[in-house]
Amino acid sequence: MKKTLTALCALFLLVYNVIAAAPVQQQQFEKANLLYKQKQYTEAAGIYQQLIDEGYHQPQLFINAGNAYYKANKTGLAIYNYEKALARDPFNKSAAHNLSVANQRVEGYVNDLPLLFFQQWWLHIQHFHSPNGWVTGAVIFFWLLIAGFIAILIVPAFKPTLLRWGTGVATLLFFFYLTLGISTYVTANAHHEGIIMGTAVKVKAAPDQESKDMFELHEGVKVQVTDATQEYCKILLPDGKTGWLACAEIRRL
Amino acid sequence: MNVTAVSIKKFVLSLLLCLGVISCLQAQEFRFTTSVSNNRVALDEPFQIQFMLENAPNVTSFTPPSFNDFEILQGPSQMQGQSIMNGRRSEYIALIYVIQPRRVGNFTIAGATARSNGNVVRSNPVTIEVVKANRGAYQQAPQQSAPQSGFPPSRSQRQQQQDEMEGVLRNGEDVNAKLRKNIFVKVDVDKTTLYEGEQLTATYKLYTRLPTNSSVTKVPAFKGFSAKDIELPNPPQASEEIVNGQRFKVFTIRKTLLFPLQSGTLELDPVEVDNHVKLVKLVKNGNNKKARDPFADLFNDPGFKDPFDDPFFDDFFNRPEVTYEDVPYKVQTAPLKVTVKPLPVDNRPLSFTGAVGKFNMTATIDKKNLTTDDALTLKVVVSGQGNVNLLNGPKVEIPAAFEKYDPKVTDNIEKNSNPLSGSRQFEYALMPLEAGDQTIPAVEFSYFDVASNSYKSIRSEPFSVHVTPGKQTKRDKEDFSVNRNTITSNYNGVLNWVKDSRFLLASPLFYILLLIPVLLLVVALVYRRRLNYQQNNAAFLKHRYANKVALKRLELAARYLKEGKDKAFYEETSRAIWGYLSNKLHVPFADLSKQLIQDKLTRQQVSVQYTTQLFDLLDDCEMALYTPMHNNDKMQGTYQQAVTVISHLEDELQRAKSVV
Repeated sequence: MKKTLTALCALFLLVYNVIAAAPVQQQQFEKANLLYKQKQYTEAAGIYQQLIDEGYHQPQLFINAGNAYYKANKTGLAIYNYEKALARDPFNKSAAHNLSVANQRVEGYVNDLPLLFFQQWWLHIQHFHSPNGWVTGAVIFFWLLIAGFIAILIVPAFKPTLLRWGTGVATLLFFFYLTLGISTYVTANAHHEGIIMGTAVKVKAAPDQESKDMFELHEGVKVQVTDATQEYCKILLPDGKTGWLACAEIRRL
Repeated sequence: MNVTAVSIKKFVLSLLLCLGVISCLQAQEFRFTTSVSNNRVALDEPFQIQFMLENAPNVTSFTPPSFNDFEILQGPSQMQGQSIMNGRRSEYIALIYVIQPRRVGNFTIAGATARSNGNVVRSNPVTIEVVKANRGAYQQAPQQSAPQSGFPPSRSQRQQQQDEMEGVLRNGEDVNAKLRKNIFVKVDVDKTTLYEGEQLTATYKLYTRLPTNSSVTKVPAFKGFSAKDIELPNPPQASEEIVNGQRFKVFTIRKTLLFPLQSGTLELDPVEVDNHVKLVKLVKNGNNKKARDPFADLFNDPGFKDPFDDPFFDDFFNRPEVTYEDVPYKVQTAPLKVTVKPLPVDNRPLSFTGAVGKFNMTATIDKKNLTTDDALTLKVVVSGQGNVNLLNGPKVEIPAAFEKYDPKVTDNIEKNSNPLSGSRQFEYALMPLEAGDQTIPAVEFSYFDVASNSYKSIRSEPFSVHVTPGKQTKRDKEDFSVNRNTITSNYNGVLNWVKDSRFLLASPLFYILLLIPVLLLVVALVYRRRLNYQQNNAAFLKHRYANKVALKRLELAARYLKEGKDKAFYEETSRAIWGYLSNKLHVPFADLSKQLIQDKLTRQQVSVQYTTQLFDLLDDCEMALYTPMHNNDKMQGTYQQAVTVISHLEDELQRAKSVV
């Protein structure tokens, strides 16, 4: 009885902490929203960025930050934040819309190919649970699967066919959840894409200061990073162009 | 003389009608002069006296002075000329007599009178000194050749005077050579080596010693330059210049300020001038007496004559010795090369945009406090001397908080300034996009100073602007209408402030959670196996309890030992051992024999030492059974031996089993 009480107290304290902590961030968020309304976009973007840096990664926060950067004429950062919001929530309409608006400002913007139907399905499936949700599911199904096995082993008399079917389904679901858990983890941790931050960046033929300039990229262009040395990154554009540029100019998504 | 005046009046009128230039005869610096070819003449030397009316409007009469002491050899011959330059006309009428003094001495020839626009005008008188004849010297002097250093100065001067006064083509003279010598165009530049963007003044001049009607037919294009023409006076003002000892009338055709746009060797295109030179041709022909008769003029009125004939000179003053010719002649300047140096690259400031000269810059903003609804104007004025017309705006680093538009450029260049000077004004309209204190960085303007051969920079002060939020009415409307070009409004609701949890997949917890059921499964498997074994093999149980049974039996034997029942003790001990062996070696009790046990134990690789101990023990027990003698110590020893043997055997068998 005493133990339960202590546990309840601890839980309450934890919940209370979470609730008590939230208003501080919410206050900051509302302050930034107010600054945004007063057209002090740079200050507003600073507060949004601070919240993001603290570890809050809500898509709405990313969108607001992107909006503030967009209004403050920092197209590269605006696009970066919209992309971040989309990575969290690929079906967020306002993030997609604002990204397309911001991309209109990008010089030399090349349209990404739209996803094919099965890629969209996959995306939908991937975002059915959070990455940790998938992993938790995998754990649960693994437990069920093992429980089934144990039951089969120890209580052979208990309706063997039903148990076997149940265990089989649990096995399949376990592998499915594990696969998706791994794939979402990989997607979330892959930094193969980046946004150009410099206003006009020369793309070189080789990772070398002396090598010749091939073309120029402007702020806000989304590139794929396919290879990297200490200082230079090899990039691939949606239209197939490749080249090297200083990694400092790219902000990885 | 009266008749002459009338005929002149008639002539002038018809002349004006013929040319249709009445409207153009404006009074432009009217001059009426008398000039003689030589103020000092020999007694029998003919000389020329010329009455020149320049830009005289409406000349109605002309009365020459009386030449009492001179004999008129020739004349009056009239010469009329006009030139149009840069669209302005100047003209002159000259009456020329060739006279010869009658006696030696100083004579003054009074000026001629003329009536122009109803006013009587009079030319200046001239004094002639007549000296004794010096026969032979000037007998045949009409060779027209370029004055050379060897010529006597008096003669060259005289010749020059003649040429200047009229284009007289003497007998046997080549027209082209004469033209070439007396008309040319030339381009003057103030420098031939200069920097890119530095000013170059090019002047195209027409040099002439002949009366000519000129027009420019080809103007230079100035490839590689930016050109700015200087307006020239209209009509062109003639100046005089002495070239190779000859006096030329010089007309400026074009004066241009050039700014090279590229480096290298650039060529100034030639200018081409079409001239119509009026030449008087002296023809030795004394037969025509009609010319002396002034009345004949009436019949030679231009209206009656073939219009292609010389219309008036022949008609009115039809001197038999003189014909007039209108010679077209085209002249061209020699091409001129200019070397343009590129501007030095060293120490070139970043803000340099191509200004060369000497400049000053001011930058101002029109307000310091404004709302986001207002616009701010940044005005940059660059003034000075140099390529003002080519100035690029200074680079203005506008912070991202402002929307910048292309500057409005206003020029204020001083007309006909040389070197080119003036100012250019750049007006940048800036729309503040966000509220707050903003700083517009200092405007920097750099130019290349040719005089000091270095770059110079001018910096303004940075401007700080305070922007307050505007009424935003327009923007708010836009925010609600989501269209293609505006971003959506911000999310203003309450967010669930939860930080991202770490990835479970990367945490050890996930693997622990996976490992736990695996362990459970392993335990279950082990348990299952054991269960199977226990259920399926009863012998295993017997074996397992063999030791226990043996000890139990030995326990009983121990009791007997304490009670001193030696028979029972030995019986029990041997039964315990046999029972143990039977269970351990899986041999039924009835089949037990020493031989079998030995075989089995050997097969189980139990060492011989223990086997012999075992059999010794068994022998002892048998012996004690059949030869009863109470010996408590021995019984104790046997018991101990039995326990050690069984425990040794147990160990050995366990070991053997594990080896198998």
